[in-house]
Amino acid sequence: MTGEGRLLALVATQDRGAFHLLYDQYANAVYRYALSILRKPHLAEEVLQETMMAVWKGARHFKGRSKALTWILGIARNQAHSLIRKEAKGQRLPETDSSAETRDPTRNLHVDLCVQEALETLSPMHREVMHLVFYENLSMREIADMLGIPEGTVKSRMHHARQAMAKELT
Amino acid sequence: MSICQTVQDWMPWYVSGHLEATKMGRLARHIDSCEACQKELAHVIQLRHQFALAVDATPVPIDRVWDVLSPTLDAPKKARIDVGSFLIGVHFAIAADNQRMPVQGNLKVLGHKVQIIGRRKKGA
Ligand SMILES: [Zn+2]
Repeated sequence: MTGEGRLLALVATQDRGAFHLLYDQYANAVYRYALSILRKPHLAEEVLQETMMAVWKGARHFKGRSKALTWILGIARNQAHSLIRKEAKGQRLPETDSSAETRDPTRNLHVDLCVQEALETLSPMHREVMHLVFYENLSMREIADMLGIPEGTVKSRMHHARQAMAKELT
Repeated sequence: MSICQTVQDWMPWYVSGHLEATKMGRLARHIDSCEACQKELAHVIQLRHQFALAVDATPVPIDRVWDVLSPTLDAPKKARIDVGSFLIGVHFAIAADNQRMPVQGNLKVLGHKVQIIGRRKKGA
């Protein structure tokens, strides 16, 4: 079993110390992935909380067939989509816009604001794939398994995402 | 689809080194001899870098979420006993805290919900 698998096995025994370690290791990835789908910080925060609670309660279901990262991101994805459904049904009150929180150019002066703006124009499914490829470094197979789509679809979503970005950036 | 298009569609994974050795070799040989693909490769590398910087610039409320999450981890487990499923039209479920004794539950008789709240133990 890999180190990450061992960590999840410890979490499955309700080891709080192991859970805290796991949280520190994956919270960034979960939040940023959720934000790539939802674009609203307060929703991404909710997804982070719900995902980590689901991991705490369900770590025993991790069978090691995938990387711990893709297993956890898969849970985050389900949580994000369930929030989208709730929002669409009007079951949630909209929160005040905190987009200033998502884009803080002073945090990293090297960030090209054009890239941020171009990213906002991508559709959620294109932004999601681009995030998994460029930020999480996942292989085509891993993304296909996580999203439950054929590898060819991953490739074509990435193709369209790049085309859309190129259009925005020229 | 042209060879260049095929090569360029694989490029994001070529850059991250996620392709098998033979495919990597084939792509490398084509890119080496094709100016258009060299240009596109430079674009992909640049975009990947800018994308990562943009994502890294996003603040993550790690501590705030942990502060909310952490106290909820020790929530008392509920013991569920389902005793009514063998009666037609009657469903009875009760739940009791580990620490305290009050019994809470609900009784469903032919679809009508009747809430049951047990007596609290003295001093609870
Ligand atoms: Zn070419």
